[in-house]
Amino acid sequence: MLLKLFKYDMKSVSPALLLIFGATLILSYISGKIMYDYDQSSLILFQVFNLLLFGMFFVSSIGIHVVLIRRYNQRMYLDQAYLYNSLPVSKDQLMVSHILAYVVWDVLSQVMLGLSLLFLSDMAIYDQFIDHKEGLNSMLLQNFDISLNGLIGFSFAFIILQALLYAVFCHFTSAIANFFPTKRTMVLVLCYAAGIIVYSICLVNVGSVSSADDLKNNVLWLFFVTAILVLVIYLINRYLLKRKYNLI
Amino acid sequence: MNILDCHDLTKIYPGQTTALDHINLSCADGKIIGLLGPNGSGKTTLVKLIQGLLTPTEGEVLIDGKKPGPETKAMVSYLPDLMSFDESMKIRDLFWLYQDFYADFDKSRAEDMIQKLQLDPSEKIKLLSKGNKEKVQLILCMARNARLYLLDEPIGGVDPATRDFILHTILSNYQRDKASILISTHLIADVENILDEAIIIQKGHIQLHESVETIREQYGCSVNEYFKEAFKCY
Repeated sequence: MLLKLFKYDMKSVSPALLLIFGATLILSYISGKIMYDYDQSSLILFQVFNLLLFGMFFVSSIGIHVVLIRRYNQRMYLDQAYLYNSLPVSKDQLMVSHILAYVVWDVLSQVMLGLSLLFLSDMAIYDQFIDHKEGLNSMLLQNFDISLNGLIGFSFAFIILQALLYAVFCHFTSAIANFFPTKRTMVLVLCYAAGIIVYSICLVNVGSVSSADDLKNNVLWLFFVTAILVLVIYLINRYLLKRKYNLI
Repeated sequence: MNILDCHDLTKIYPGQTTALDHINLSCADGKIIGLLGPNGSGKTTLVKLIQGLLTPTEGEVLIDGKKPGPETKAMVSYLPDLMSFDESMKIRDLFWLYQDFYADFDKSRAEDMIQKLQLDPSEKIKLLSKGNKEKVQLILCMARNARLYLLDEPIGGVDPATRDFILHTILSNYQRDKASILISTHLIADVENILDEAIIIQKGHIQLHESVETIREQYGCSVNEYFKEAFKCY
């Protein structure tokens, strides 16, 4: 049942997100080609495409959250909730299927961002990376006691952990907003924005250190705190859905 | 065993509105039961509590001896009083969804009923008229071989011909020895002839729970006339 729910969650959000990601990649490719075949006459064209691309980066970074939060609210607290909450599935399955969709799309958005940067640089970033890979590996081992592959693996794990945090926080703010049915959207947006701002401040403070050891410790600390937050918020959501759920 | 039991069931909404006040109710299996009452009497609240869409403030509701959950949702077919589908989906997509989640869904029966309505299964829900959307929703509900059908205002807001179709669909897809139906409505005259029992609810209290025959014998009038007399506003 969980995989079936996941299938319908993915089907519901795919059209909008694929459109956003596709448009961003195409704009990146075109901007990259214009920049590297640059001459005076294509300056205006380059600026227009860059502006569009900047807009698409903004839209895709916000859009993924808007689309997924909207999906969850529709199927848990609005009209489609009458259908999905009548299915013979548990509250855990309803939450986990959406969390899985959130993680998949968040990872895809990071991949899309990486590909966009490669296209923008006309693959120059990739060439630079290959040229300096050994040096980068040595620097990481010397200063942070971690290899390049280890850093890539850790970064991937952290991206997934952050996506889990965004998903469970989306569920939590949706549950809180449901206690205020006449002000649902405002409460949802305010709570979600406040949470993201607080977490972003923590992320920025992690990097505000003077030594490599302090940076390493701060990053590890943030990783474990995020993992604990994910678990605690998931358990709170579980309680709210099982004991306090009301479809009004 | 009764198909439905409510013990001291109470629901108080935020803002202290008491929608149901210590309801005690038992419904036997194999009956068509009308949940009747004026607007705001607590009918939809009771139906939602049975379906697990609301959490009781006090008391409990049991379906076939079990609390609302995945097990009871597998045996209860629920028709809400509003459109609950993603309107970007096609009729055919909804068949697949129901088939994916409900083991008792009879896809061929649903396709048959859609064909009789001359609807195209590849049509999107958002392009259908209000009446046709309600019919599609009803067909999906009645195409299941459920133990209990919960129909919340199935004939409200539709034309008389559609009402006849809905009542005909309910009766022709209902197997008395295997299932029960609970119809919540305020349009008593339209459903009275198909009911075995009537539960009359007002302001969150059960006023009457009797068989339709007993009501007619005891009060010498139809359920509709009894209701109009008992709850008149002037």
